[in-house]
Amino acid sequence: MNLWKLTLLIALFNLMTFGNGPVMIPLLQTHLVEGSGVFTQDQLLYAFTIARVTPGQANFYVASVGYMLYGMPGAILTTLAIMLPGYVMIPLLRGYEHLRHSDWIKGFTKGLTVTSVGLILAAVIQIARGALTRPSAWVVFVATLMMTQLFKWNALVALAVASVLGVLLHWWL
Amino acid sequence: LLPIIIMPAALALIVVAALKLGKDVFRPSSKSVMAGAAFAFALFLHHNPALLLLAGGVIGALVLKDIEAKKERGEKQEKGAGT
Repeated sequence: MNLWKLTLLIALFNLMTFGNGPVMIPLLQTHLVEGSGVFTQDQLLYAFTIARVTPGQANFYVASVGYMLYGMPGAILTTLAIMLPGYVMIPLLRGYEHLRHSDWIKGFTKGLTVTSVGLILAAVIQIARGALTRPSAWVVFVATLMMTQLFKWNALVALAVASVLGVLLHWWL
Repeated sequence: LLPIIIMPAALALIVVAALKLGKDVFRPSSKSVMAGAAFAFALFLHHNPALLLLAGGVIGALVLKDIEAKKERGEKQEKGAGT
């Protein structure tokens, strides 16, 4: 896979998912990790985590993906690939406003959202088979889930606490 | 330490994103059936997620459009009755 193919792939996935970062995870997992094998699961998760704990859109983790594969040109082109469709859409917004109220479009976007949830959870299980192999990893997983979902903690704080917990468990177990 | 700290935490963040995205998917409905089918097709039958996503959109346009329209009308009526 070359840089242009990666950029086109990310632009396509971004369009398909309406720019939703987490929904792109199963798509990137299938094409970059399992398909062409240019990326590892760990790299994908690392890129996603960086984007979650730093300011900016959730789908900007693809810039890390581009950077890890092709350096700075990769980061710039993948960022453009996720930003440009939004600007291209501006002249078409008037037409979209009419379409937005169509029951067909509402049904289509709802169908995409619903399917995305199933796909993300399937990707999580696939990744978890390789990532959650130790008890300490499970503890960090559940702790982060509780901190962010139940206690509504900021992702950065949750990651910091989970990191300390992971290090302590690693020494202790 | 990366596999012990970052990977499990990243997975948890992805799960949280999925939970936020599909608030109404986790109740028994046609949406939960669609999400379950996408999950099964991707995990057990290893179908391409891009194609599943498009298929989900098309099925949504055909099946969910009436349900969503009905729901919206109900919400509007409720709002009207409230004011």
